[in-house]
Amino acid sequence: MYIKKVKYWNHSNKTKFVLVEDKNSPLISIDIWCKAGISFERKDNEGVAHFLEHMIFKGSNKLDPGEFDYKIESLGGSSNASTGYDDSHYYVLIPPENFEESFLLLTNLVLNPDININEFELEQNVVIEEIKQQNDQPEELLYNYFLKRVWKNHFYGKSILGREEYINQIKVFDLINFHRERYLPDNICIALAGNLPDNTLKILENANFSYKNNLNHQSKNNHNFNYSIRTGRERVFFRKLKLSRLIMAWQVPASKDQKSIIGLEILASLLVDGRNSKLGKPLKEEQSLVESIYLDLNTGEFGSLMILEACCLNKNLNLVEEIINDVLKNLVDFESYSRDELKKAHKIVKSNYYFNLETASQQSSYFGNHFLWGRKYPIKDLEKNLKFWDNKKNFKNIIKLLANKKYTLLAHG
Amino acid sequence: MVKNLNKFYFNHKKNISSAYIWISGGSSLDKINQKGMNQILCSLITRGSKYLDNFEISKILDDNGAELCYEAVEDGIYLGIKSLKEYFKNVYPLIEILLYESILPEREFIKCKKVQINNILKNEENLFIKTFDNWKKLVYKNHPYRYDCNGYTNTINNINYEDITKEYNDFRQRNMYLLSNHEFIDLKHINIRNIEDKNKYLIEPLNFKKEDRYIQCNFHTNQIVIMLGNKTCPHNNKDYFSLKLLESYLAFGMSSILFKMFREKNGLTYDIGIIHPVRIRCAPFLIYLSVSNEKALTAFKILINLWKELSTKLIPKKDLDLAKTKLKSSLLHSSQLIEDIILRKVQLISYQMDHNFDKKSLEEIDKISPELINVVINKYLNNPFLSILGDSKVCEKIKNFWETSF
Repeated sequence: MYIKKVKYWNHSNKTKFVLVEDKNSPLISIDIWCKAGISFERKDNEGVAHFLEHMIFKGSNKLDPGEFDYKIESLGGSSNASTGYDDSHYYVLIPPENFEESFLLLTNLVLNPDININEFELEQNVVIEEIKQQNDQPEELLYNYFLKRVWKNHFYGKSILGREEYINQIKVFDLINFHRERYLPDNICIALAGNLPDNTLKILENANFSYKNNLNHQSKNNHNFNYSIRTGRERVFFRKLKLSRLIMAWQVPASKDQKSIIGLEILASLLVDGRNSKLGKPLKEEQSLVESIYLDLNTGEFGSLMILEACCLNKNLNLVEEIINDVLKNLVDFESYSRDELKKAHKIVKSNYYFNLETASQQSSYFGNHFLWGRKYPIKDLEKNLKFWDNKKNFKNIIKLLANKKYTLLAHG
Repeated sequence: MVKNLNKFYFNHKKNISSAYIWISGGSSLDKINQKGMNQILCSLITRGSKYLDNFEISKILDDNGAELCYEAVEDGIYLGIKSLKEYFKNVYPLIEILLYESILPEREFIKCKKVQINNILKNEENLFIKTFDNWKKLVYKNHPYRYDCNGYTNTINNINYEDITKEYNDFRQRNMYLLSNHEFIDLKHINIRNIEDKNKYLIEPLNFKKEDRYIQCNFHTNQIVIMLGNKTCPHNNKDYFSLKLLESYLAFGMSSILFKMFREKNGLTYDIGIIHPVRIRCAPFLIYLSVSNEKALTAFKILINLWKELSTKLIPKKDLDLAKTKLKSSLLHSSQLIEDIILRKVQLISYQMDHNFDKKSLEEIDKISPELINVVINKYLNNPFLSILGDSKVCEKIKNFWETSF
């Protein structure tokens, strides 16, 4: 892999860092990752993780509301954040000359937020608008419905945004509590990527950034429970869909099993990438039955799904399902693929990793997320894991996962 | 060998190599009853050549982990390819083969039509696309920018195989430009400096009655989608950067006016922004937002007030300075991926503009004053067009307010 300079480092205040040097990049990405996704919300507090992400931009012990945005953008930077099932992250993209100042601004904002009631009430409305917008998009609605069905009682079946009625019940202290419990050094890592100055470590050592929260607080980071996804087949009607959808899901290993995840990425490529792929060829190229077909891995630290989605005219929905099931059965029963096909899928997956690590933001996101969950040098493992699946005997174990019981949702438009 | 392909090399060392071809024209060349023709054509040329069929083309790409992308947009068709540097020599010849030696298989033509009709249906699920489509109908009348690049179900059905072969003959005569960061013997070092500043494509505003500047589409939804704006100038026009600065002031980042006014101060919207794409002719400039039914009228009143103030009040110097910084940094932020850099440059070359236009415009941006922006606003944005979509009762309230506003 061309990114050679990946360094791991700990600050004296216990914060973990990963540094990815890419001198070709015109910018630096500063990316704070935190184990503060919706997995860690209490049952009666749905939507609090995402709401807090909004509120964090509303000022800190040193920054008034709007001051962070003004300062970062005046420095030629941009900022954003996102909340997922397991984690949240906050990032700025900045020209190298303004790295130090931006670093101090972002760490202060995320680690020392000041949640005031006026800003809270206004932002509550914004979050509700976000939910309403999502609910006007039939594809989003269907996807949320699907997740809720397939995950049964697992927290991955919740909507990240929460529901309007829950958002209305959240109080300021709920956000403060969530921050206090989750935004601690043990739960945080900071990823820096791009054209980093030569004295980056010195800058970090001298940087005066502190935590608002009690550092002795112990937070729970694991969920020890057994779960299984829903299996079987269901039909629903979504009036606002113009094209029907078929969604299938299999339970697959969680993110910590990166070896299997890469094997599954090769399998997904074999099935849907390119006009010669196992599913693309019959469904798109030979019979023009689908508008699109995707196979994605929805990976999480506490469980993962492999999700196949086909979009087609209502009249073709049953036939599409039949063909998919036939192709998958042949693959499982007769290993109906060649060594060349496996080699091709391997190359596509490898290229995609390179393509997806081109910019500083992509690098900080990839390395930051892996390190947050204890995975160092993921690229080194990538090469090793890709090689492992080159062997057809090994790959058989990945294909076998398709034989597991799956959940199928047929959504008619 | 076709003489109308101008090939250039651009020195940008990366482990990813890419090449893009821009063919002048695009969906603007579609005939009125055959909208979507160029989109079908650009898909079809990738599906079979003299010596390689559809599956063989795909095999070459896949075996090298390469990606092919293509699209017909308003002003041109682009065809791009990228792979890891070590495999690029294996896939690069494909891009010229597809361009010159495509045989347009009839079977593939039928398939492309089906796919495009399905794609049109899927886009109909998106309320923003629907509102924008209605807005374009109002503003552009019979201008090519009125139409969706994909066309419409009925216009796609009008296209037969003979039509597409005729279009392909025309396509081969169009000006074509290729740019790559992978050095081959037959590529010239890029050296085009020819900024034009002619308003040859500018369409003078027509005289629209007030009722012709409003369109409403009723849907049972949680929110109202609002789009307000007008058509403006071409990319190579001197007013372009004043409008870009206005866009930066209004919509770039969380320090922008729209973000502050609608989200921070009033908690009215989640999604608000500006559509102002690069066009060779009169580009649209419009504000879009979605807002829940009960707050829609309030949001609309604030929007109208802001719009009116833009033409009467000057942008404060401090805000303009920030807008300049944000605009300059956005140019840097948008040139990180090799394919984005190459596509932007080859598009500029096809417009007969300097490929370093963005870099060189930094000085021009500094010279722009609040007064100049005000002149530009009054030139293009005084009589905006409104498209709204959502609940009929709420839309009627907005309509009533609109009728008393402009």
